[in-house]
Amino acid sequence: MTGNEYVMKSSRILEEILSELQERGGFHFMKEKSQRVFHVAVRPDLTPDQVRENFALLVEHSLDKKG
Amino acid sequence: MREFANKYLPDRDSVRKRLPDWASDLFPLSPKEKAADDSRIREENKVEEAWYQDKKMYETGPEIKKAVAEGKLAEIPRRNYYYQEESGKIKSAESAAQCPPERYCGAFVISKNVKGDYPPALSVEAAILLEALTLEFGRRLKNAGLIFTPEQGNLQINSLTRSAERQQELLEREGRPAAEAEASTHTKGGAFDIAYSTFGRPPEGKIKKLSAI
Repeated sequence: MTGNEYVMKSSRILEEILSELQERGGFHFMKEKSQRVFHVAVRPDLTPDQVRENFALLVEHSLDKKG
Repeated sequence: MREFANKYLPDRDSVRKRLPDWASDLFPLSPKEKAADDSRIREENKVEEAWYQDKKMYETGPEIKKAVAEGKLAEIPRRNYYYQEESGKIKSAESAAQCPPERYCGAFVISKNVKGDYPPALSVEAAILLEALTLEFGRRLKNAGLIFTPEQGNLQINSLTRSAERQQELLEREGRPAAEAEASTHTKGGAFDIAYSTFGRPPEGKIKKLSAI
């Protein structure tokens, strides 16, 4: 695998996680092409426990899909 | 030289159209494309503006420092590794080698371009999100066969909380970012930027824990 392929695949995986997270609500992300970054924001009224919980659900869902 | 290039070399748009998606993403934007991209970002940013409309900006570096000292913002280490214990608890490690081999390991590094008169910091909620995202990214890389090594698979964080002063300076000097200070979640501690064109090795440095979490 070339370095570019590695970057491409890693970037897709990251975007996939961010999309799933956004669908769950409480988070927002934007692709800023000129800076080559994903801007990620969290809703300010979420508590730390809610952030952890939302993320745990995302991971659980991803494991279910896989398995 | 320019005449030669105009006559014999393909124009930028035709080159770009022939590139695969991933390469197209890495192609520098023309001024017109940048303007269109900035406009799209300002539109998409309205979601965050609505969320943060009642939140106060951090105007200066010392305000950010004070918020860190008071625990309102979490100081983010320049580099950190994470793994998850069987109990589900996320733990910090000082290197990839210290992550138990049977566990997933993830890492982030803060870009060396993030500097200033205040430490890298985020709201506690955003810091937890960064930690969980880092670990999940490591898990999915491993599942995809892109096995984590100290040389690969690190998220690079290019921006965290920014003072309104710094935001204004960037706008005037570099024409970025797209949002004015008041509209930006960076000036309110709730956002970070992750590079999507590099996933390299973090620099050596002292490891600190996210003590505020």
